[in-house]
Formats: sequence, C-alpha cells, structure tokens
Amino acid sequence: MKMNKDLENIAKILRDHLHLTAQEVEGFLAGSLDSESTRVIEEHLHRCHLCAKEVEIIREMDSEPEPGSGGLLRMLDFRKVLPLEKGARKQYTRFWLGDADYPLTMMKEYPDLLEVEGLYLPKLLELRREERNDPGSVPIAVEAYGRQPIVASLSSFEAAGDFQEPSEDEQWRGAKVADERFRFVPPVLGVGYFSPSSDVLRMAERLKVLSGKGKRKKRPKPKLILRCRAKDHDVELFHDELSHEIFLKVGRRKEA
Amino acid sequence: MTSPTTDFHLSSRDLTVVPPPDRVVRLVEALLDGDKGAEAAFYEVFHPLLKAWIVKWNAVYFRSLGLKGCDAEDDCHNVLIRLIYGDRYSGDFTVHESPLRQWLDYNGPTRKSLYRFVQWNANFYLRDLRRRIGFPGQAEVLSRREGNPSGAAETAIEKEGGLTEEERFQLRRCSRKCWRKMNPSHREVLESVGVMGLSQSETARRLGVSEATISRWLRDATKKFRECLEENCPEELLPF
Repeated sequence: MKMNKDLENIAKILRDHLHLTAQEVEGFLAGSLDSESTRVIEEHLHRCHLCAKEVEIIREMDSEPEPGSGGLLRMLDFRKVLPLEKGARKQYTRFWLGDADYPLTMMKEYPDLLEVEGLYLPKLLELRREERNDPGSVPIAVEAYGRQPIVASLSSFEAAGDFQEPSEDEQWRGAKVADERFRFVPPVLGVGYFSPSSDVLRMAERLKVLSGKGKRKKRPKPKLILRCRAKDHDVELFHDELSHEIFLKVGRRKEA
Repeated sequence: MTSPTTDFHLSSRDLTVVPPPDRVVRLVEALLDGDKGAEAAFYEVFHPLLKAWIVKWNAVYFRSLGLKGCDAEDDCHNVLIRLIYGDRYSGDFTVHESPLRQWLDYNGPTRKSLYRFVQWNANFYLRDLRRRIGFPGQAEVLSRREGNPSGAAETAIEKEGGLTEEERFQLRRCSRKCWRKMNPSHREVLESVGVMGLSQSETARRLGVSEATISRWLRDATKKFRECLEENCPEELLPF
C-alpha cells in the first residue's frame, strides 16, 4: 500500500538522519564543534525531546563520579538526572495549533498563565469549526524543553466557565464580523488577528507608562473558555475580552 | 595468544586511571585476542555496572516516555557482546570493529579511563535500542569472529544507501528542517509508529488520544513530511 511504503521510507529517514548522531552528541558534549554545528544541534535539542533527554542522561552519567575504592555500585545514583539547562525542565515553550506555532511567555500579573503570543480568539474559533467538520485535522500540542509534548485534538476541548461557544451559523456571521474588525494586521506583528481599537488603546497605555506619566493598571484576569483533559495534564485556554488574546494554563493531574 | 592462566583481576581504581595501568591494557589486548579468561574478567567487572546503567536508562528514559524498558539481563549481555566484538550502529553506517580497539590505540589528550569509555559506548548502544536498531545476533557476531579472531583487521565501514558524507549531511539538514515545521502531535505519531514500532493502539495509549485520532494524525503527518522533504531535499536523495 502506498501509505505504508511512504511511512516505511520516512521512518528510515528519521532513524538514519533526523536524530543526533553519536559523533554529534560526542562533539557537542565535548564542546569541540564549531559554532554553526553547535547552533544546529541546540536548535534540534529544543525541538526534539528524545534527543534532549538522551543528551541529558549521557551528560549526567559522564559527570557522575567514577567508582573509587568504596565500591562500584554505591557511586551510582539511579534517579538523579540533572536538566540540561537550569529551570528549563518545567518550561513550556510553544503552543501548536495545527501547523502554526506560537511562543509562550510568562505573565507577570498572573504567573499561572502563559500568553500564547500572536493567537487571538477568532483564529481559535475558526480552527474549532474546521476541526468539527473534519475531526483530527487540527492537532494541539504544548511543547516543553526536554519533555514529551502534551498533545490533544482541538475537538477534545470543551467549553468551560461561562463561555458559550457560538453556533455554526453565529460563528460564521461572527467570523465575518471579526474578519472586518480584525482586518488590520500591523506588518511587524506578522500574521494574526488584531483589533485596531484595542491596539491603539494599548499603544497609548504603553506610551504613558514608558514616559512615566501613567501607572499601569492591573489587567482583568482572562476568562476560562476551553478545557481539555490530555493524558496526564489538564490544559485550559483563557481569553482576554479586551484584546481577544489567548492564554494557556497547564496543570499536571494527580491521579488517585 | 595470551596465556589462559594470566590473572586479570582488576581493582575499581584500575578502571578509572588515565593513562590505564599495564594490567588494564593487558586485559583489553587479551580480550581483543579472544582470550576467554580476559572475557570472563571483563564480564565480571562490567556486568553489574552495565545492569545499573540499564536500570537508570529504564527509570529516566524509557519508562518516562511510556516505552518498554530494556531487559537488564538480555540487553546487558547484548551490549557487552557489542563492546567486545564491535558492530555499533552509528548514524547510517555500521562499524564492525570493537570500540575497545580504538580505546587501546588512542593516546591523545582526551583519552578516557576504561570505565568512562565503556560507559560512554554503552550509553549509545542503549540509545540505539529505542530506535529499534537491532543488535546483530550473538551467533552472527561470533561466527564473524571465528573467521577473524583478532577482529582488528576487519575495519569495514559499510555505508547504507550509497550516500556520501555530504549527501548525508544534506539529508540530515532538510529532514531536521521539516521536523521543526511539524506539529509535535504529528512528530510523536511518526516517531512512535515509524521509529519505535508501536502499533496505533499502543501509540494511542501512550499519547492519551483515541485510535481514530492517531490514524488521522499518522496519515496527515506522513503526507506533510513527505511533501516537505520533496520541497526541500534534492530529489536524488529521497526514496520516494
């Protein structure tokens, strides 16, 4: 079957060419590679949790004390593995919605939320509609450095809080309105929806804060709109009613 | 041939000293010459260490990824066989020579102790297990060894697919580029089903989504990755 043959060929490419070779890992850990090769490897490690974990274990085992006179096994600590970067283990880096990815940034005001930079409600609702019509077409993922990503399908998210998802018809009309309201996309921000009015307001507020004439008000907490139970995590999406920005909260579930 | 009566007893300290003391060098030389006494001594020293390393890999790597861990006994034996007789899989070519030969011959500034060298190589063998890169059967290795007892003259490096170093580099670069562009859900499915060899239902359990979703993701992922490769890689390097 064509599909299986393709998968077979891709699997071979992945096995042989995608992941770091032993020489690359060796050179990377020894610090003997040129800056370009090091950059390429670091970039791969940021996107490939499997290689990142492998490098982490190899580096950790290599830095363990060698066995001395006190016996060989006593020197081995079976559980302790240091992360590659301090504090990087718990850091979620990117949010994926279909083929688009958005960087995640910490919020000062609400430390439990992460801002999904560049994602706005109309885009999210548009993709919800797409996923409803073609289940499985819009995968969601939350990437974290050196850890298995959290994955789910967009249709597995349910409306939460007092969020009422627009019906198909309302959403279609809403999308049209949103399309007109959010048509203005400042070139520096790249692709995305942006409200001109909220943009001007925020810009004015920022200018006031920068010039020292204004005191930044604490923004209202974004409202919970969608929630999903992924394998080991609860993933929640929040919405800022003023700017339509989307925020993310991830919590590890403690199973009884 | 080294005398079978030679005493190969090593202390912990002998394993960690750089440069290695004479008795460690003698042991490795005898091992590569096929001395059974040396092989037994090497097993005696490294078998418990290797088992401990496997326990660690299982705890912090395989199980945390939702994968079946290595078998401490069988895989320990396989790794030791590969260490002694060679056949470490590296990238897309196979090196037949025992890595211990390189250790013995190298006398540069980055020389490792025997302990570190064995640990380093064992890590890569264990890493290969995740990619379903099979170890050669013991019988295969032993029969090769019988044909060439020293193992030293056989330093063949077999290239797969007839790619040059430059072509491999190119393929690596574009496959990594395409990988970065893929949704991690698609990456996980390709990795689980294609590389780790899990079934779709096992993958569904591992990722916590339905089998129908996995099936859909697998179809999309295969299509997208292929399209991306065709767009970014020279045609002659691709198997499609």
